[in-house]
Amino acid sequence: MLNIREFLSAIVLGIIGIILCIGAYHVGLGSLTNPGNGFVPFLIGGALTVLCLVFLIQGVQGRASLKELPPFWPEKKSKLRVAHTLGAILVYTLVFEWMGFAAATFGLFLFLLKTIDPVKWRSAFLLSFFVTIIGFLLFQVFLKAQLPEGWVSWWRISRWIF
Amino acid sequence: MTFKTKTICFIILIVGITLCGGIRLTLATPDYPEKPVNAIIGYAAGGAPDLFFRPLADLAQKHLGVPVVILNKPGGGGISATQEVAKAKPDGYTILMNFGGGEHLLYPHLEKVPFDTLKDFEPVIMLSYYPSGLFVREDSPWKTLEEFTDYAKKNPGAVRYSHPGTASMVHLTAVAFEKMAGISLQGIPTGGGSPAMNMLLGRHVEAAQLGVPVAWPQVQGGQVRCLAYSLPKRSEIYSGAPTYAEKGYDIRFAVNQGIAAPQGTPKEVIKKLHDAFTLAYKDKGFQGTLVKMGFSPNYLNTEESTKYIKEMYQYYGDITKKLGITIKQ
Amino acid sequence: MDLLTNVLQGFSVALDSTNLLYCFLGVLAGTLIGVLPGLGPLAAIAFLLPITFYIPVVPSLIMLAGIYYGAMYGGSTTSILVNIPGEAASVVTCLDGYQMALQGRAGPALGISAIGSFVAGTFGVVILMLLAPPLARFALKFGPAEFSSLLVLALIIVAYIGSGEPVKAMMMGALGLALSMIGTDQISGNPRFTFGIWELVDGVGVVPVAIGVFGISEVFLNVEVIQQRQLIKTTFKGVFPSIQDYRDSALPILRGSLLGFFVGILPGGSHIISSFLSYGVEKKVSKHPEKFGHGAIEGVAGPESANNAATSAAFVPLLSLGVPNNAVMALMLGAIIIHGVVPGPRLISDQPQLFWGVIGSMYVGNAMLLALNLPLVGLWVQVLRVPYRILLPMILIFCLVGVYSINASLFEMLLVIIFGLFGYIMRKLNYEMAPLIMSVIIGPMLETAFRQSLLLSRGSFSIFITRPISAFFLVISVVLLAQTAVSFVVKRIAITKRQK
Repeated sequence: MLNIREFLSAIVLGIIGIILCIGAYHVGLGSLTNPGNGFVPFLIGGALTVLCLVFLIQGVQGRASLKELPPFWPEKKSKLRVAHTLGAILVYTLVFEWMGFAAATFGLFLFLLKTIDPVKWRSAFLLSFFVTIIGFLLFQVFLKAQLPEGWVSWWRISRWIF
Repeated sequence: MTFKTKTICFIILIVGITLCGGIRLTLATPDYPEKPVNAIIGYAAGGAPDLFFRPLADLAQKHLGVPVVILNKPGGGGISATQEVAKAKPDGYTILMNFGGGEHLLYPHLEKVPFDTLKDFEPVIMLSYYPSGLFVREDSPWKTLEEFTDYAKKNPGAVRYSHPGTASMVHLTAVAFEKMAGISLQGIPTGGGSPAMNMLLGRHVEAAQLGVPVAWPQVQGGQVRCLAYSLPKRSEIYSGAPTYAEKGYDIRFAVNQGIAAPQGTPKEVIKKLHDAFTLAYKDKGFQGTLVKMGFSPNYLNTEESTKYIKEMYQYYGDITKKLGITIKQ
Repeated sequence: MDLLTNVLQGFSVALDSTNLLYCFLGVLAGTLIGVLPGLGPLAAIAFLLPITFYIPVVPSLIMLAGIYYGAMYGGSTTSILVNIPGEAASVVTCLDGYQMALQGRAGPALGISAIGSFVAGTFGVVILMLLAPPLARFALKFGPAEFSSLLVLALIIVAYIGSGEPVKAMMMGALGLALSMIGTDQISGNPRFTFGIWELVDGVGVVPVAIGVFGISEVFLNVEVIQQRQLIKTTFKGVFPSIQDYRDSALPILRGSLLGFFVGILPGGSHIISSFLSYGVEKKVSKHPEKFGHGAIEGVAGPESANNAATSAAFVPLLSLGVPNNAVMALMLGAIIIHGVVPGPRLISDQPQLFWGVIGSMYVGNAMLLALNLPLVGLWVQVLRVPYRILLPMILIFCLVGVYSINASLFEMLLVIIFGLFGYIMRKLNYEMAPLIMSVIIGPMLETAFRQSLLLSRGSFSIFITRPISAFFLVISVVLLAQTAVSFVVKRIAITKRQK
């Protein structure tokens, strides 16, 4: 028998397939000899829905895919850790251009070091600092990528130093 | 705390203060320019615009006194970068490179775009342009444009041509030509100049409409022939091929390389930018590169550029209306 | 003997001290960039291209080429060590490479990967040297119809790649295809399924999806069980491949090289596709296919060789015709042009020192990379000793900033996170991500080729069958499908018989 998770996921994917078919139909299918923009997406949506149905039918017929289900959240604190990490990187993305690479990366690293598997404050600060410097050297200096400056303006620092 | 720990903390403190010293404090801004200028290119790093504007920016830096930092912001065929500069502060620290391309002059007549080419920008300078052309293989039976149109008239829809992308300047050159000559061709869209050239060389299509710089190495190598290209008059860069104009078709579709600042940028700032880039442009080494890349020099100063942009914008508007060119939905 | 003089000339150019230096810088940079998740050779070459404006053309190309194939060597490192692809082509290496690492065999995996890459890369250069122009002309024969059929074959192999349930793999494949439909389609130039979001006009992009679905999700999965993971990784069963490993890998390396080279010369042919195809082939011809996905060294040897052979092959159209095959080659073309060299069919004859010099440097570069990477295996393996609580945040930052830096796009950074979350949930539900990635790559290519074919044939489907190369791929696809169907039916009959 199918377990509840696979059942639900198959249903969700099947619905996505149907939505894709509907959207493709709106975009325009065209004809077989002159396919429109919706032609191929329609086929894909159809394929997705059919596959989900096949999966569900297989499950109903008794072809179970897993023996015993491990618990979804292995450890008590894992939900919290994942949530913290997710929240942290979302915030990072939001403030990245405003705070700039250096400040944001420093903050993110510090936060992660303290929350996922706590590190002492002193080591956390040092590590965050070094990783930020390494990141800067790697991306901005070595690769000449374009990183936002934000709060820490390298241009001014180098003018100030030299 | 041990001595060692204290030292470490002290060092961190010092470094921290140094960093803070770098944090931007708003001071009275005296002369322009006093910090780096951001030059935005709406195409991915390493592309043809980069090859043109990066050396130019390096040269301009020397004359401007501050770094001219090229930022690549690809997206929507150059449109999202254009929009970004249109909305930027008109203080001369954000400028748009590759101004005068299809997305600024031609596309707005076909689709709504989130900026107004004439109202949102002050052209600073025009540097060069390149046309698109109709190319066939060198073993093709058509040696002139007339032979090509004759055949196409007698066999509507039979001639297939590849092009870099639907609604691109290059593609629409071909469409304009079709309508003017009263012929019907089958366009095969591809994902760029090189795939389109591949298709021609691989004998999958009979002809190709390509941006001239992309195709020129093959012309020089003798693999393909150019039947016509879209400049108002012949350029010494593209020797041996006629223009659409001399064959009787007023097709002046060309992609320009220019620079623009957001509307409202002070005139002195624009003048400083113009002068710096003019000097950079006149550099012999840069001129040499330009020509080798297949771009045709077309220098226009600030006033001339503004007039030119207005003219071309009008031209494209007129011609799309007259020929009924639209983007088919 | 013309060829010999040319080769010797090439070596004399390649072994010139400046060129040697640039070659070394290139391969070193390439390896480092390959190791960093998120950045691939394309981004790196694009960033470093401006530097080459100030140096002559031969060292420029040598360095850029070095970055390109160096990245292929380095990309497998993180795939094996932490299940995060260093760059898109190394996704396949995660499948078995990481499993080997979990079994304490990270060393052999890294070693075979380096050796296979060297053999394939060198093999590729030899073929490039001997047969570049005729190969390029052959590659041109590949038009839209041939591509469609080849990609259909690739799509079929996608479903086959998974080590879990076929239907689930196919569902992920279909979902990947669906994702790839977002954006502007090449044929009509009109945006589709963008939900009004301007940034989606160019589609979702392979890199954000790959890094999200493999990299970020991996981090989430590890964050859950962070204490446990630390313990597993410290047992080592030897740092170098065993004799058995060499024996097992020999044929996969050979097959991978051939396959990778062939796919690599095709326009648009990418090393990603060649590594996937190689994996599928290895699994199909193996005597123990069920081991794939659980640490079969063939699954590392084949794909790693394939992507390096494809790298050498990609130079074929560029150097012999002046037409670039893929985005990286387009950058190389730019580098050539800006130095005033005219690319095209006369490049080989007009600029022999360029052509043969680059070829010579590719031999040298591959050798350098082997010398660099083998000893580094011991070093890389130590990376596993870094505590996860430090390693994971570093991975996150490199992934996120890496993706941002490619297009200076905050939106893509966000996409990485979204796909990371998605990948994390799907992996917990036991769906595999490899089929998803491959179909995201194949989807747009297949649709464009298909519609182009119909435009060329004016609506007639016969184009797929009347053109011989296209027909060839279709026949193989049909055979594969038939085989799978037959074996499926046979199994079901056997099951029902047993139940009776």
